[in-house]
Amino acid sequence: MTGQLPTTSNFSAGTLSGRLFLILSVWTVIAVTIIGILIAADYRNSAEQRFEKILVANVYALMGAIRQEENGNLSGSPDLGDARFQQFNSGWYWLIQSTKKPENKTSSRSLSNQSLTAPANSKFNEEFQRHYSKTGANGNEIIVLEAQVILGEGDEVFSFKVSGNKSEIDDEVANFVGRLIVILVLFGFSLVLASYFLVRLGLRPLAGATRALEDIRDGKTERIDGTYPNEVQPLIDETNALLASNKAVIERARTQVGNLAHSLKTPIAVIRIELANTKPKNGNTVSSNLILEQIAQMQNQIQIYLDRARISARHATITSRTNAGAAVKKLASVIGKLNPDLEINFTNSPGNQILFAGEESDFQEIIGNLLENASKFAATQIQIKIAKPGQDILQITIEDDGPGLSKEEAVAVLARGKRLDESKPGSGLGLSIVKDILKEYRGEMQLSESNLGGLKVELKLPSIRTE
Amino acid sequence: MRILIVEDDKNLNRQLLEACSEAGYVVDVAFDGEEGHFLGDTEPYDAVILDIGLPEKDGITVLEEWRRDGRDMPVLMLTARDRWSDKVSGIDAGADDYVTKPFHVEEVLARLRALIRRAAGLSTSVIACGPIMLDTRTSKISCDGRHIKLTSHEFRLMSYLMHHQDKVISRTELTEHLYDQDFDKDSNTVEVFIGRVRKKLGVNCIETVRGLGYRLFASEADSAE
Repeated sequence: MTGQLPTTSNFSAGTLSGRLFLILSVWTVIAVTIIGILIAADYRNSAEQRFEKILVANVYALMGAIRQEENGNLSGSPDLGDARFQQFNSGWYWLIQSTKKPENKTSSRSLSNQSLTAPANSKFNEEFQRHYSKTGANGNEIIVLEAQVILGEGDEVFSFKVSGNKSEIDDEVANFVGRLIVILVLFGFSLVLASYFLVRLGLRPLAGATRALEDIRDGKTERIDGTYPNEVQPLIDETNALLASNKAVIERARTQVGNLAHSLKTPIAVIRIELANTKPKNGNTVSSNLILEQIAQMQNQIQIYLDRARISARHATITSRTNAGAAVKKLASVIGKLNPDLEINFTNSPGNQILFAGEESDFQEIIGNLLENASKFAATQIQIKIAKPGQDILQITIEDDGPGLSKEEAVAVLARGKRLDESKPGSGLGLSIVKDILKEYRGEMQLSESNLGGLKVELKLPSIRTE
Repeated sequence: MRILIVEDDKNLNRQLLEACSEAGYVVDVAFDGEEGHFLGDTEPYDAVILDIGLPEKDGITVLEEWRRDGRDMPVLMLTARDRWSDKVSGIDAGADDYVTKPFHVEEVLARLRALIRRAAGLSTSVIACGPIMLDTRTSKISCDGRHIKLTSHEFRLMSYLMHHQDKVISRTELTEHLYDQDFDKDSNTVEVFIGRVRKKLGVNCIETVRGLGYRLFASEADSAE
């Protein structure tokens, strides 16, 4: 079995494969059993008919071979051509006997001293024939066919009896049933095996679709591609449509939330500037301070909810990928334009392009904020390196030659809104936003001392495996 | 120094206008993208404060059109959107710096000063020309450490010359950067201002280049008359 097929655990009763396989197997067992019973019954039936015909044929053969002499005695030596009539106690006997004079009789060699007397309750049919069974010499059941006829001119009635060993039929039928069971079990097993592969092959497109969905979740693709059987294709089409509409809904909701939050920023700016310009008169400083405080709170709330909206939107946008090298290069050039006095060195990893498993805007947010921080503190230069140390991990290092941070400061700086150096402009949110986004992507950030003298930020982010 | 403010919010526009005027700039204002684009396209500004979210024509488009047509004045972008993707698109369109809303007016003024300085190829906030010093942060001019008291028009004249020292500046150019768009530019008040400034400085540092204009140069402090 190749690893691409569903594993055996997928054949448990809870799965579609399991149910189909179970139903097919149970039905195979039932059908094979019924067929076996019917064939065995039919075989027994025809064996018994054959046995009956042999008895009848033997009775007629006896009748043809026996004559009644003038003196009333029986003459002729019937040879029924079957050796079993010669063997003692074989169960195969014949006996011709006068009903008037029981001593007037002749019999097969095999019938030594056994009695073929009919039981009291057995009746003749309209052809003066009757059947009955008796227990033979070896305890076997024997079947006796008796016919009464008048031989010659007289009125003396002779009884012709032929018996056969019924256990031979039973043995024969038992043999047949034994062979039948072996054949049917093999047949049933082959059917079960066939249904196993039928289910696997039949459901294979679903396994393919599952893999495609896994790829979507891993961010390798945005939709399920490829052709599927007509029964599965509608499901695939609907899934693709759902993915697309989901993306559109998220995009719209994001836009609306963003518009609302951003539209509040202008009035906040206006109020703040107006209050700053208003000279406090007659002790109304308190209320303007209160308003300023409230405004700062509003601004903070807007930022927090904008971040949250962005983060919760990300849960559903699982299909993104970003060319990390190109995005870093772009941001480095932007930072360079904003800080023309700084030297910014960007070293991209040689070889294949490195893909970040996430949205470009999130990646820009992380790198942009870190670069902006570096640019605020750097004296002359910033160094950026990008590398791919593992299959699904990428590493970005940002170093500057600014004053750097102590270990305690590095811990403190990660707290939301915390700014160690109040003299540099900025809301202080930058680094904690970076931290939040990193958390969402299960990324890591380490702060340490750079060889350049300033801060060294090392980032580890999820990358997409390049095949 | 003449600047343009393009901001659709009337209150914010007024506040920026007041702050910039107080800081010594000649200010023109526009309230939508079309008007802003027209002004930036036809008037010589030393810097522009441009909001991104504008009616009629958004800020990014206005900026792209200016840059495409070769208008290279420094542009300070105002944006409510503080995500890096928004900043990148603004810088890509040709902005030189950005300030995110809500902001302190001081920050806008500081960025503006830095942009104007940078456009003139100067790296510090104190500009020197011989004994004359201009502190762009405080808008004060001194000569040999002596504070020179100037009227706002005189200050603008000196500030423009200090930002473009050793270059010959025509009278028309000076007029354009000293007055807003509604001023009658045929007036010859520039000559009057030059005369007054020369007198107040007390050093010979503004040369009249006949038929061309004026030039500020670094003079020897002790050559004062």
